[in-house]
Amino acid sequence: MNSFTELANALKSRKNVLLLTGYLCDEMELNGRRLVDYAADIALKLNLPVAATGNTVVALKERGVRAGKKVLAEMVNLTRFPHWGDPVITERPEVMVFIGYPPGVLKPLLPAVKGAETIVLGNVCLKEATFSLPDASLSQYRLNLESLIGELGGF
Amino acid sequence: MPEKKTIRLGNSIIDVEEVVRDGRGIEDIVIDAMESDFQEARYRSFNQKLFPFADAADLAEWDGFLVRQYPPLYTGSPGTCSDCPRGPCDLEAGKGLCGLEKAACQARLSLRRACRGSLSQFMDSRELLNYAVKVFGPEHPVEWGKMHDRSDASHIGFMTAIWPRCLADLDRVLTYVEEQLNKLLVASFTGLDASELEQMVLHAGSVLLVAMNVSELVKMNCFGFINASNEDIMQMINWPPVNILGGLGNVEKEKPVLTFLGDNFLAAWCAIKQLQEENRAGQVEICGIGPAGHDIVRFYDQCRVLAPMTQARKIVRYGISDVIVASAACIDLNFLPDAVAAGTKVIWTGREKNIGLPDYTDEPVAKIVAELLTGIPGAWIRHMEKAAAVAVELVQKVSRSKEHLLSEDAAKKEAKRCRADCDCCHGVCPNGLLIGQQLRKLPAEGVGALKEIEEGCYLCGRCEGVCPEKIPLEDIIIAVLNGRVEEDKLKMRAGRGPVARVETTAWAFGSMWGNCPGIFHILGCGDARMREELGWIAYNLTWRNAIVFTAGCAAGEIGRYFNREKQQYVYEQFGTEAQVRNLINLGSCTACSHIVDQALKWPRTGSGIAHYGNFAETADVEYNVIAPTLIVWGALPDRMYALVAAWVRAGMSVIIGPNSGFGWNRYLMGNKWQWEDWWTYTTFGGQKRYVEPSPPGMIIPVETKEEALTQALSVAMRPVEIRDGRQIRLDTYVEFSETFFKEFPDDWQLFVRSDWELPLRYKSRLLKELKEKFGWEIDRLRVKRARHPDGRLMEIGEFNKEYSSMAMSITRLKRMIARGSEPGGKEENK
Ligand code: SF4
Ligand code: SF4
Repeated sequence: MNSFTELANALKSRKNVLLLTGYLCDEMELNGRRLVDYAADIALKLNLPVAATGNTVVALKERGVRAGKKVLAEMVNLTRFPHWGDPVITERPEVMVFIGYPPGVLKPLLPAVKGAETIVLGNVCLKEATFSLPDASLSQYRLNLESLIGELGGF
Repeated sequence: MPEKKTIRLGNSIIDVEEVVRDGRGIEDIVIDAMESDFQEARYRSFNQKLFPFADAADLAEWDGFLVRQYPPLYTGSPGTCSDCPRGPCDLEAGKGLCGLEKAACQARLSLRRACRGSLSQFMDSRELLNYAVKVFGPEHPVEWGKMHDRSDASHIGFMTAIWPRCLADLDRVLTYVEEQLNKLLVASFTGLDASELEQMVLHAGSVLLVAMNVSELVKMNCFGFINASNEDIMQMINWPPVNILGGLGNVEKEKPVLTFLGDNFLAAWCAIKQLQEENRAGQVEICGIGPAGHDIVRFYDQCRVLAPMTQARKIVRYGISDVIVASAACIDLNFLPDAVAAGTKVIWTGREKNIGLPDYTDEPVAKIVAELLTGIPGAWIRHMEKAAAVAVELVQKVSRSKEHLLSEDAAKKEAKRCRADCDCCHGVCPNGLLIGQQLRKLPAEGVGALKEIEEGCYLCGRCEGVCPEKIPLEDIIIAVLNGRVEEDKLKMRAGRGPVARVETTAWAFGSMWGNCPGIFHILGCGDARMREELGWIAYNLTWRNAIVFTAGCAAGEIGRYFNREKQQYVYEQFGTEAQVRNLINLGSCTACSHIVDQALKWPRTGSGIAHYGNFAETADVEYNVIAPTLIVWGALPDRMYALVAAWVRAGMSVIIGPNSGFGWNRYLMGNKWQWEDWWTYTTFGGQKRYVEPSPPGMIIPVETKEEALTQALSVAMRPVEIRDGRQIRLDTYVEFSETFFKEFPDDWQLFVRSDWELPLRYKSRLLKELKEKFGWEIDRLRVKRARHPDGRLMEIGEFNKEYSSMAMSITRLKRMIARGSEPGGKEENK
């Protein structure tokens, strides 16, 4: 994917996309706006179910997002079993989108995801993902997220 | 055995060869163990086997169950393997030339990591024992404490069947550890079976605990470490007292400061003895970093515990010490440049390697002191008494300036060079700290802008390494630390040593029937993101009536937690006996072995299980009935990796975090949504019986402290526990989830076996969910019909008959099905 338009189209066209939100959503601020606001925009625009890890479920629900409290490693763990079963998304996800995780947390987990594509919306490019946003300063990261959210269209 | 050996137990004559496969050469140990703790009733009912001097393969029946139930989740990717000269082989592309598969390669790396961790402890234990034998002689007696008897479990007993009486016995024990670690290390380069290798990881953990047991016995019996088991049981609630001060803010900086760092406390013991003999102890401030600090306070309560090992570079770089006496530890840190920068003199006592200092071992004390005073940064001295004598002499003569610290103005000037279009430092920080973002605020806000960064930083140096502007980030972090030194305080109890079975008997019943959410163990190496998180975790569990044990560096970090309302440190708020609502510090890192050992004493009390050479049977009961949960908060060193394996093998689940927990690359988790995966044998009858997924995982990494608490409860429930215990655990699980996440946990219903177990304060809401969300049939406040996981709606009585195992006798080991009671067996046909 070479542009935010392509990324947005890919996200819109796929079935069973699961958004996972990590603890940095609660802690990171990009020019005065919390990362959880960006995550909520993405979830709401795509009407995605959210596996909210760390403590992010509270802020996401306050923003009207369809989120359930989950544990990151449990979500990755489930992808390797034949039976999915977790109620956050009824069928096994085809795409898992990660936002709000430091690279040190996510990098080792990505190769362990089985049977799903992985998209990382962070400020460090992770080559272990199927697709990852590029390395960016925090100000560029904000612009990247805004571009992506813009391409996702209206609510 | 040369001649047939039998022992008489009650009405039974037991042929030892029937119980021990090959007892040649260890007859004395086997007979002694069987005569003192073997249980006739269990022998008559079960096919009991003892494994003195156990190899990994001897415990494969138990380890195999764990690895099957919780198949390792490997993260990261090994890429290529270069373990043999035929490599490198690209394992992503397929098997290696030797047949090695990717998962097995990951298991090899896991085993190597566990071995590294265990070996680092073994080296320390061996050195300590050798020293003790030299000074006190091989016949010097050892004992666990006056309250302990032959039925008191220890890892020495589990793995070797020895009841140690003197230092020579401990030598025999350490020879076993050495042999096991050698075997495991070889297997980590040659093994091909992933499952077998992972089972060996568990074994590496157990032998680590054996080495720790040895160290603890030597410390208590040769070096005057306190041991509560020798004290009056009526005093135990407040013994030892909360009188240990620590943190940089409690150091009397006007005095010469002599700091001991690392695993080895011997130099400190010699130095303090010398100072006391010369009546000069009060003139020198003694401090400890890492295990040394927690050891010293067990024989010298004036020592200041400064910080955990992972924070050692920060403390050394800050430069509070005039002299540091250091040895190897759980983590390898290159702290010499920091000491040089701070003008602190270093005496390195490690025997296995040097850190770049001239070897002065054979020089006279006066000459070493003179040369240290005239310029050399430090000396390598492999002789404890001499290292201590040099340190005592030197610390009173050396004077050190504080000029190495960056001033606030200089920090501001440096910070101005930070580029808004960069943030490379954030990308590499293992704790995900937003360094650049905060640094850019420093010129306007002062060093306080990096307060939280400094808290979460353990000076790994990665950020400075990638900074394109070459900003001295480490110096800036230290400048921030300088700004808060006076607040850096902790207060704690010294470690009390092992817990006798008589005490665990009390907690066993309190925790099963009482109003206690469980037994929790807390460890951590100091690399969590916020300083008070460990104390917060300990406080939140203890005041809810849990029994909380800690040891090692975590014990000191917990002591930072201060209740501002009550103006009390957390240890001052709770007692310290092994009872409900107590917070119990057992000692330094080696005292971690006491935590596992006391947990494993319960199967002897509750089920009459002998422990000598009998690990699998003990762990099986522990896992099914009442296993405590370990939380590891800040989990960096390899030794912690091996320690966690020991906990898992003992049937106890482990929650690890925050960020460093994700660097472990191997977790043990099942699929709680796949109900057919969760079953057990009934002990009497041997039928396969489905049970709830408790615990759903054995090693689970989490991101936040709130997740840690909630997950700790999710794994605290066990299939055999009676309903009172299940109710309070469910209550606390739901409470944590509601408090932190404003919703019920997603899996609480999996653990409900009867409406009696529903916590009263949530009962009507939970019943409503059972009815509306999960299709159970509810009649006012009662469950009328329950939904079996296979979808059937069943009368609650039928449900209980068919599903779960409340208060039943179950086992995961086929061998532990009662003799003749298996389907078709003679007992069943009666
Ligand atoms: S030195 Fe501290 S701030 Fe820098 S990367 Fe390491 S932990 Fe993070
Ligand atoms: S790497 Fe250096 S220049 Fe870049 S943001 Fe961090 S401190 Fe600033």
